[in-house]
Amino acid sequence: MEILRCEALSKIYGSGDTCVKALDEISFSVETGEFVSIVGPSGSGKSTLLHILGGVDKPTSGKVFIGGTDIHALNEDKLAIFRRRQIGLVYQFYNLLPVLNVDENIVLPHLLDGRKLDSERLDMIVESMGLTGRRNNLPGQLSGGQQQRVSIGRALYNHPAIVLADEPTGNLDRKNGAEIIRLLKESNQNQKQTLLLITHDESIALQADRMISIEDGRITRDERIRMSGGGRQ
Amino acid sequence: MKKNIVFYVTRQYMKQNKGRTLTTFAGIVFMVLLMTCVFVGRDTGICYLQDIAALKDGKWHVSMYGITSKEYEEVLEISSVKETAVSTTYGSTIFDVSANEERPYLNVKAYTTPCFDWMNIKLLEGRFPEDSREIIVSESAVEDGSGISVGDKLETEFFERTITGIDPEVKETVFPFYSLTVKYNETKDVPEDFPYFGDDPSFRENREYTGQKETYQVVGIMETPSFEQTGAGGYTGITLLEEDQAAALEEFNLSLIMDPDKESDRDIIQMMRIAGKHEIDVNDYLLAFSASSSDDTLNIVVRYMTVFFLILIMAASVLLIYNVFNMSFQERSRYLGMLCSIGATGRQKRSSIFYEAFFLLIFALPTGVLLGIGVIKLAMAAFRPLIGSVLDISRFIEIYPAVIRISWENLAAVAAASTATVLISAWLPARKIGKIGSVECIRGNIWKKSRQYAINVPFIHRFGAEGMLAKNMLLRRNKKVRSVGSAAAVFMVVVVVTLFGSDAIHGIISARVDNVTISFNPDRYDYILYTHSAQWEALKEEIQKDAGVESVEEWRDGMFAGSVPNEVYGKEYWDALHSIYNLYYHRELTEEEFRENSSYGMGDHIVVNLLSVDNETMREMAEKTGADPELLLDTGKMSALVVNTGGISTSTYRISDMVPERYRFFHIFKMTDLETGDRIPVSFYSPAEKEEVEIPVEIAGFADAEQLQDYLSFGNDNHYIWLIVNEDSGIQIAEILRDKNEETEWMAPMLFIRMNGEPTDIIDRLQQVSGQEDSEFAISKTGYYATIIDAISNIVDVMLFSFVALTSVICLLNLFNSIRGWILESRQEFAVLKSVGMDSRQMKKMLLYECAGIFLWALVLGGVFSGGLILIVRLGLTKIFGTLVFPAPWIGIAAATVTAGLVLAGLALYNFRKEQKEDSFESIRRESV
Repeated sequence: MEILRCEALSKIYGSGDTCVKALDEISFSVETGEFVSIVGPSGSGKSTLLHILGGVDKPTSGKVFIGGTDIHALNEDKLAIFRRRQIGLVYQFYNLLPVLNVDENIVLPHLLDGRKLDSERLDMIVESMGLTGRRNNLPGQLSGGQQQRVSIGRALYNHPAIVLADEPTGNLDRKNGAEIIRLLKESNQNQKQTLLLITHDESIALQADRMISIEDGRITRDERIRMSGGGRQ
Repeated sequence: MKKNIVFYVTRQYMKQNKGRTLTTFAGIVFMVLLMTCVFVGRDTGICYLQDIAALKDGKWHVSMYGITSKEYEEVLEISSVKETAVSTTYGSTIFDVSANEERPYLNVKAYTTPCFDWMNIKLLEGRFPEDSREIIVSESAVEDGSGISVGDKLETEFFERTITGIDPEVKETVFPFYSLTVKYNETKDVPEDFPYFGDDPSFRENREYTGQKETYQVVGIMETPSFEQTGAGGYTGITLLEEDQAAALEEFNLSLIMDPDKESDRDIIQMMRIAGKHEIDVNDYLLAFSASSSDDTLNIVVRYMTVFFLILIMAASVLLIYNVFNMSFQERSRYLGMLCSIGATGRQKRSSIFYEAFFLLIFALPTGVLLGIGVIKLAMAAFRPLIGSVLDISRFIEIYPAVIRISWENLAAVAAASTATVLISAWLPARKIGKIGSVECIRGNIWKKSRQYAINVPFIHRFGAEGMLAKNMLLRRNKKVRSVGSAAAVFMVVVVVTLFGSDAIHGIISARVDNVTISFNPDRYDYILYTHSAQWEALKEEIQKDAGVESVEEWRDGMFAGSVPNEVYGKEYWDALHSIYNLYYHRELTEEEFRENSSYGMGDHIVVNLLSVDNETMREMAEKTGADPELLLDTGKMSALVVNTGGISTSTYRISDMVPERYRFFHIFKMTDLETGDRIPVSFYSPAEKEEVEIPVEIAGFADAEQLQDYLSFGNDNHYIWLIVNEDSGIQIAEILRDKNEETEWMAPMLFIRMNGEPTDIIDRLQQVSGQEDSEFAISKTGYYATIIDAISNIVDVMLFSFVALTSVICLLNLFNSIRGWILESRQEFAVLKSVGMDSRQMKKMLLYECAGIFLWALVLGGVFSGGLILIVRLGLTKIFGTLVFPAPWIGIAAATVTAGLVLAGLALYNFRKEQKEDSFESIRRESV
């Protein structure tokens, strides 16, 4: 079942002589439970694509459907509500709130939705992220890897339709990077969590079910590496 | 190559952070502006008031009329006499060219040169007389159509005017306004401004020629002088009194200017003694504004206010500038850390902060001074109409705009105070930043905390995600709370403390300037007429008949009229008096010593004051105070309403020539310990019986001075009990006290005149007559004594209002800057919150929660600091001035609190909305796009 579809997405920065075309008529779709990696050189437009898919940036033209909803047709507030329920975002620089401890950061989207705290789910996420001993720490007291795990926990807590990860290992050493990918893969495999991951690292990209290559704002390759669920094509 | 790389980098940083640099600059400019207002505005205001006061009656401080050369020499020996000028009156002469039948004369005066200036003689045309054959004539003569002009010759033959009763049928002709009665065949002198009645069947006007004849050339036309009466029989002409002429005069008028730095108050009493029966005038307003009146209150108040303002401005500015530096601390620490890593020393890092502060100060100083002068000009322009009404002179003269008094001393003071403020503001962050190492600076982990925080589930369930976020943002990163909260707290502190100071200064002014024992409510009674004339009833009738008069009430004031046994005065009174004695003796007197030396030991009786009021007022007073009205209005027995509050101070209670250790005022809440129903044996001295007559007076109730303020108020030297009795009792006491051999009498009637707004000249006529030497009555505005206090109070009000307004701008700027900084610093957090699904309504809610927390913190901080400062100011004032009553400005506190809360929430939401318009996700995307 298709969970994400984008149609002829374009993004142009600036105007006239200084105009830069970051995305040029990009169209593709993602199935539920699929793990898609997006690769490409710096400046190819992959992060722009992810931000547009996550609803934190608007396309110059084109549409994004998540679960059948045209997200850029929603107003700011509806989009915010949609984001907290349906999208999990993981950034390279974690973007945690420095004044909230690990638990609070993880449950934030859930609380923003006005729902009561689900302690069991929180315990499960904290445990699966390996943060049990760090629950009362503020982000400033955690290592980069731990912060990124909190960020993943936050993205997964609400059972979003899709998790979008923008170079989640870009700021981490190899060991921590591998650990983060393992966690993301686990969520994809165990909970059928749809995952779209941007990376520079080919070895990480190759762990996905499908790899989309972008260059100068265009999809140059879109190849299936293995069947969704683990089987290699 | 750049000469100083640290300064260069600092300048670049300032350029890049234009908003913050501009706010700091604006803060420093406002500080300089306020300092300019304090120093330059102070001098400008005081000089302007002196000039305006001089416009009313002239620049002279004291005028003595008809004194001799011997008396003149005595006056010259008085130390505070700075300058003198002589003038004389030649009398009246026929003014042939007069076109007004009622003004056929020219009243000629001769002035020595300084008098023209001192008496505010202003030329409309021509020039001043240069010798004794030249004259200037009043504009009123020209306006009446006389056709007199510069170059005309005037032949004069001077005479004094008298009137003689000529109708045997008319027993006596009364001129109540001039206190003059002429019987048939009797001749009486009349004053110069006596009207000209022409041919009257009952009296005749005579001219007694002095023998002096002169021919004058008119060299100028002057504005009608303020002393010229419109109803007078003649116009004014002034010639020059040459030195040899002045020296030859046997009797003359003397005007003098006194040295404000000397004890002019005591010297005026000395002058009154020298003048004896001669008339003497004191220019009250001018003396008050030259700080030469009864004491140096205005000087003390101005000095106190200067220090008070200066400290508050400095405190508010230090906080603003410090806040700006502190908020940009982390950002600044990065570039300074980088400089440090390439070898910049701690001193260089500190110098960067000082460089920025002083760089801005160099431009802010001239800007602030110029703006300050502009603000003073505006304030003085706004103050201009107020001065006219306060001094009651706008109907006499036109009030000109203020001249700004700028002195090098004041400019230096502004520069010094501003530099000191900037230095203190920059020193704190400079010291802090100098201590931080380069690695911490670059990594930005200067404030990394090691504390752990558990999730508070019940709190989250109660206040939701917004509450959790707000609480954690406030408690786990209190730097922001401190900046924003302290900015809000400073706003509250400044407003509250200034309001308290304002009230306190009002209290001090009334305590120190208000040396009038009793004054009457000007809102209830317009004029008060004191009379010892036998025909006062005729005068009362005459006034009552006038169309412009609404009512005339009759009261009697018997200050020191009676005496009571010492025991009537209560413990609080004796304790206060004991403290006053201690101050005069410069040591703690024992009870025995005090009793021996004080009035306690000087006799078994002590003075009481009496006041009788009309029965209607008595009834109203009884109602207001809860006293027994039936008893108070009972004509069969004497009863009184006792005014139980009073005050005593070292300036109103004098002990022979002793000088007190310092000024102290004691407010007395309970003058007597007696109770309602008790009887006081009050003794009155009867000149007829030549002995004390004792009358038992029953206490019908007690009153606080405040309860009676609708009718009258008591001054701070009210250190004797006042007994208020009914009209009949007043007449009865006046009868006992009457001395047939004396011109004046105790408990003489006072007529309270209330006007109804209809046009009338009765007050002008009464005033003209009361000004004459032999007048048997005096009329003044009921608020006359209050007006000096009101004038000073109004000046204080205007200054305080301007100060509060301008300092509020600094504080609001500070608050705005802090909130702007807070919102800007939260930009990334907003973006993160948005990216995880927080909508704008939730963000506003979170902000309002944060505002509430900050406001609570500001309230606590503001409360503690306001309370502390008020306590310090109060202690200081009590130490300097005594136990005055300093009320807490509750309404002001409430207003400041509400304003701070609203401004805080309003500015936060405004800045948030502004921030919303920006692309907040930019801060997230910037890192990865």
